[in-house]
Amino acid sequence: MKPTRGNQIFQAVLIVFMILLCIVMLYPFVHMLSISLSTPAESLRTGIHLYPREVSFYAWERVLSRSDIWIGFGNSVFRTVVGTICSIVFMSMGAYPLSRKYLPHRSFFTMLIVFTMFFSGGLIPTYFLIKNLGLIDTRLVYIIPGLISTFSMLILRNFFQAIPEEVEDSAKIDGANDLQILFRIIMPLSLPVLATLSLWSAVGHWNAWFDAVLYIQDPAKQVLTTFLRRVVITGEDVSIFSSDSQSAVLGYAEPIKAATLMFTALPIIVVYPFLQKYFVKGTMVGSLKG
Amino acid sequence: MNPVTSPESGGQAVTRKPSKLAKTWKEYKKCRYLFLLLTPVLIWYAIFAYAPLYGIQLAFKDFRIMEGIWNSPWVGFKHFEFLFFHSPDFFKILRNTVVISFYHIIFGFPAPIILALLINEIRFSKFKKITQSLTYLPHFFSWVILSGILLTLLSPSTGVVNYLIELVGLKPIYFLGDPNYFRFTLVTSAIWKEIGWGTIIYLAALSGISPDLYEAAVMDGANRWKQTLKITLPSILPVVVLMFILRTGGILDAGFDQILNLYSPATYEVADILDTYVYRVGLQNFQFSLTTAVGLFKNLIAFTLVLMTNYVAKKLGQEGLF
Amino acid sequence: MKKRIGFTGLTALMLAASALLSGCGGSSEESGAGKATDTNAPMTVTIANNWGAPEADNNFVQKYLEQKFNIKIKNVKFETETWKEQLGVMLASGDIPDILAVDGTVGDMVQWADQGVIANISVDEIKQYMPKYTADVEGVDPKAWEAGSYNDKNWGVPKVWSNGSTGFMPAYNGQWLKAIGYDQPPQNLNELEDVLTKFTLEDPDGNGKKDTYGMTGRGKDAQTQMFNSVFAAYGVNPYQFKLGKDGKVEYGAVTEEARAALTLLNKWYTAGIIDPEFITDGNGEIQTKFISLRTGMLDTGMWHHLYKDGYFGLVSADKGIELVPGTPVAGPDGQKYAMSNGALQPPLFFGVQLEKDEAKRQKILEMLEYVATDDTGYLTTLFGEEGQSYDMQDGLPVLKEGIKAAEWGLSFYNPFGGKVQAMEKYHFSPDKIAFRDKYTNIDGLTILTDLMQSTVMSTKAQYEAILTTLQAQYYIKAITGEANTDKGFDDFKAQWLNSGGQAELDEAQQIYEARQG
Repeated sequence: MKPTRGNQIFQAVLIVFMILLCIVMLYPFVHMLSISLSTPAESLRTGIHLYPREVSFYAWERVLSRSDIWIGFGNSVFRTVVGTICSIVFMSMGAYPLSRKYLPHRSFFTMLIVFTMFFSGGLIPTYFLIKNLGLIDTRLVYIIPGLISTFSMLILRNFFQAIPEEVEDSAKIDGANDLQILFRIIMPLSLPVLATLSLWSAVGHWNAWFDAVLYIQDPAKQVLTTFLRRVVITGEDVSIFSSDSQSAVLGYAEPIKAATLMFTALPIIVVYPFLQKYFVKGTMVGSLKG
Repeated sequence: MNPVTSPESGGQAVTRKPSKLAKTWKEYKKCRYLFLLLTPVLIWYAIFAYAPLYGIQLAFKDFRIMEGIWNSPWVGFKHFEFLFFHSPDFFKILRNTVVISFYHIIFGFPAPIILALLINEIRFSKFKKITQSLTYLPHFFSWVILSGILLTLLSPSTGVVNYLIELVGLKPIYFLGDPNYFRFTLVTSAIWKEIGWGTIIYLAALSGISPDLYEAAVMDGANRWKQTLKITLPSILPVVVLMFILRTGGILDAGFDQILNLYSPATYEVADILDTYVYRVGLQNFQFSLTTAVGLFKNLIAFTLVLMTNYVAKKLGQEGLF
Repeated sequence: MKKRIGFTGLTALMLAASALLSGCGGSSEESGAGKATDTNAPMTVTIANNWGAPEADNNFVQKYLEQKFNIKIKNVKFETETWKEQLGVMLASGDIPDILAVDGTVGDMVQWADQGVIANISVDEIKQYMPKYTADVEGVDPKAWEAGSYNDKNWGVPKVWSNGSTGFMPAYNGQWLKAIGYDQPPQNLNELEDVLTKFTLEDPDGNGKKDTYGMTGRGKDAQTQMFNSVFAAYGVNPYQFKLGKDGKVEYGAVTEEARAALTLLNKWYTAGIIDPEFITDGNGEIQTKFISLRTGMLDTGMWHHLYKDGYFGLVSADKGIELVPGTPVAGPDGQKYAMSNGALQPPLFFGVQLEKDEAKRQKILEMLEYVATDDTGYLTTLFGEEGQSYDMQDGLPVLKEGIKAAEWGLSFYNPFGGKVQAMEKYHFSPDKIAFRDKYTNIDGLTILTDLMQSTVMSTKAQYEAILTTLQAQYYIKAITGEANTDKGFDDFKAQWLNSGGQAELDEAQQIYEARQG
């Protein structure tokens, strides 16, 4: 394909537009990074923050030197990795049968599942359930209750549905059963959507905090977000018993919040670029042919 | 639809006609591997989604914490009455909720689709990847954080946005304090935060389109615009429809976190929504029952809407939810 | 039947599972912790707190108290913001902590008392086991017991925060005051208006640009503090009950004083001497604008915020701004008033099981007396061990570098930290106390407090949220001129009275008369 003149102009306009858009999108990130590296007075200056005019690493030193933030980090990584893998497997198991048009009572089962998106028992029955299952103060509570997102599963079902039936038929002629078809053929063909759902699940796990607050008392099992909330919402570092020696911390309230936030956000932000290779056009068709 | 295996309406027919029963059993047996996969999932739903449902009765009870859910006294529609008739402004609040949510749908829903199409048109793959990775950044900041940043950016006197507006020769706008602009600000800032994140699912759909289709179109002399209209859009339409059906369920969710962090008494009249109102009223009390009632009200409407959109989508020949 | 197993069977399975699990949830057998059968074994005391959660169980302070009182302590750590949800599920599953040190309001207290969650304990018993503490509390406010009284019973140990009664005070940018020719802060409303005008028009920061304002207000989040210095000058706090001249209870919002204050604020707004962006300002923005030399006056600080280690004091010093505390300005009647939240706080609550467990109740009261009034008990629970976690410097305990309060369990076990008059010496240096005395002991100053402070009012629980919204909306409009303060104020007043305000006033009047009689 030889680009026409019109196409070239279009590309140029598009690129300029995207650069402007990226600048707008990048700002909050740059802002928080800049605040996290600022002195107290600089952090409270009104106006745009692109870089700290007066630099201080105090906030980062303080955040990184805490032991509990690393415990939280470990638990967050655990729930994100294990939780995402389990979710993807489980949701595929549910989505595949529901995507087969010949499944008996398919509508009924789908309805059963869609219903739960809108009606839930609320806080107290759920708490009893978790308690009766013995999940309180265990790391399993991060994984099991949130195993399935109905929203994601429905999307996955639609993607599975879009895969041409011939693919399945030819595999069945070769003697494959449904399990083999799902894990050996359908899932590998659906990498882009699986990557998307993994990202959704991972980000959801990484940012989740309410389950940790409600079900976990043991500090060794806490996740990073609980720590973040303590610092950002209640400014816990700044206790009412601050004596003069602690007033340094008091002045650094904003940079410490910003540094904690950046520390929490960065690991999950860098996940996406690694998943991007699954979004290359034609992934699916390419593997189909091969 | 394949007429031989059509089970869509079999549920009721089964109980009446024994001859069909045998057929159903056969169908189940044929699909035993599928049920092997599906059963654990259904068990999970039974335990984690259906078992706690008895909590819904709280909406019609006065929850007495020491007596438990089952033993709390029934109060009928008391909490719904409180919700609907206690505040002189309830219908204004309901209207705000629907209007803001409606704006979010008509402007916020197509935005990521358009962005995904544009990103898809970029030819330099490095630049394409960087653009994707940067546009989704604001998603990772909560509204508590973003509200502070927005206040700075949108200040009528010192904000960069108004600086640009004044450069063009217009008067500065108090985006966060002026009721005339506040809803616009809500919708725009929500797009800013979520547009990049929203594109991901569409990019996944776009990556499934066969290049063969484009090649054929080029042979027929279609330009890029025509290719988009004739190939790209139809290819991602099923995903768009599905997302839209699910989105309509959020009609009474107008963005609690965002509004709670951005509004002020000056903008209450245009921005006070169901959730913020209940939050302020509920602060007084241990309101498990009221919260359940509000949730039930919202979800009934959401469920109805989703069923309706689903019906319409199917009538238009699209793949629905069920 | 057998043939339908796939379809009906699954449904049945789901229903069975639901019934099974929900059945379990409905009946909870476990009751509050600690029913010691063996009299020699230490009893278990459950302590819940939504502040200062310790990092681990069996920390230093916990072990210290366990040994000292021969008890076993169970920690219930609540999150500062979501403690109500946490407590809710805990109570619903039948566990009630013995000591409930949470930020509950008087409204919560009423509900908990009605639902049988918290224990009522006689005033006499508390006085008997906590003599020093109760004397201390009554010394700060003789009405201390009022906050915990409901249905003629007492629902906890009273708590006071003496700082709460000192009131809000204005503060100025010292350099700016000099620049406009003032060598002391303004004393009355007219002078204040002059100062704010000059701060706006005379380029006090000398940068050649018209980029300054006199002050901004807390219009976004805590409207009770919004321009409180101006309302106070008229002798009113628009969000509190007060006694009118005719002996009738009034609500600040709808008084003539409030109307006058709003009229003046509107005049200032029109003149451009208050920052028009006050509508979206919270306390953080107020701090930021002051530090960034956009405004020259603050009125959302109490004395300790203005001291050199306080919320406004510290960053001002860091930025090189001389923060000059002023005195409340005299209004039209020549008097000085300051708005305050008052010293009374909701009491410290106990789980209902203590009503029947006399031994544990007394043990707990003894322990509380110890941590509140004994020097060792107080210092150990809040600062740890001398030489190990803190050092005494000029009579003040100072945490050592690198000591983490959460690791030692500091402050979690002492619900009275910072709230005991006799222990003030451990928190405030002589310099700080001198600062406080200098700026809060002002001749002829009247502190405005709520006539119904910490009083249980059923109408308030019902109408407050709606009335506050109504008021906040009108006040902003009145200041910006979108609504006027003549007929507009009358309309607002009528609407306020109709929407539940009259009911609140009637109840307040009744309560007031009952107290007098």
